[in-house]
Amino acid sequence: MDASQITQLLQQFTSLLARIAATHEADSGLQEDLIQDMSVAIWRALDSSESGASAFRGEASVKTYITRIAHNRAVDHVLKEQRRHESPSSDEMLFDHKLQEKNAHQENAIDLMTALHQLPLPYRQVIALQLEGFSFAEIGNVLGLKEDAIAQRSHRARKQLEQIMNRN
Amino acid sequence: MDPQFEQWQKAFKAATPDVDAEKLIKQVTRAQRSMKVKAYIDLLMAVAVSIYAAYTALFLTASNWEMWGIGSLSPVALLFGIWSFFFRQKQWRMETTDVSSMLTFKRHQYLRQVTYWWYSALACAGLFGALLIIAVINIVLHATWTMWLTQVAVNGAIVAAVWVRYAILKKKLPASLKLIDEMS
Repeated sequence: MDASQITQLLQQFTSLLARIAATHEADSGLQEDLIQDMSVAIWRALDSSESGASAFRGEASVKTYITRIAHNRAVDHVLKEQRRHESPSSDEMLFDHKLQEKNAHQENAIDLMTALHQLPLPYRQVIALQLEGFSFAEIGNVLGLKEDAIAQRSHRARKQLEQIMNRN
Repeated sequence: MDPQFEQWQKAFKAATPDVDAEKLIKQVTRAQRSMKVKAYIDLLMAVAVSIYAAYTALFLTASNWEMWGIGSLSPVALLFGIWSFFFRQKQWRMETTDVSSMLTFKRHQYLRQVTYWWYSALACAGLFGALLIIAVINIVLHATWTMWLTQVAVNGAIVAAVWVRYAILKKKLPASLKLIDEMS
């Protein structure tokens, strides 16, 4: 792919990347860094001038491929942050997003994101991808798991999310 | 789709952080360009160091022993430069695999990192021991205190830093592996 095609794709999927970042990182400042990090990784993977050929071979849709790279970067980010701070995992962190400064009708969004951040990461990833509209097969492609495993995780994740939402 | 999930989906989309796409693309293209330039500069530097070492070995050495010594070291920088150039490419290709494969890769990386620093610490300690012996001999025979004590102090600091790095990584390893297990 050439630079203009990649630019177009990045523009198209900026919101998706922002939501993936928000799912993995509660701090809004770090989210921006993560979004940039994901975008650089996506550019490198799609850029055919990087090593003669793009790493994208069309086995999955471009959206799934981009999501996979973004999730990889996000997981790497979570690992690095937790190694750096040796703090309690982000599951216990509260959602510290700019939304908190916004108006009351976005309360549902804040509640959902706060609850999502209390889920263990494997559950959070599955439910976030489902909320994004991906099928089990596509989620399996992103996470490297079989559809059965995704279905099981999805069921447990929904149950936990419901419990957290009710408790909150 | 059930109403609750639909409601969550709406809330999830509403929670999208604001991102200036134009600014992001500018930052990305700049970062991408500088990474490419950095990779090629590193490679060029490695070539330059190797050429300089070869030049020194051929034209600036006083004995055959020195010529062969420096000459045999001259390809090291080039080989290291080429290795790190391709290692970077291999690393970013890892980002295109699925999350599960990436976590397996990370697990191996953490284990390899500790092994690498363990061997580095041993090698540094061995070299420091040899240096200490040479320093003691030279101080006793020629009373060259300043030079040899400086060498011992500088190398001692390097050895200590390597051991500290190894100790930190080893201490962090179980927690890092546990974290990967939790994410898998």
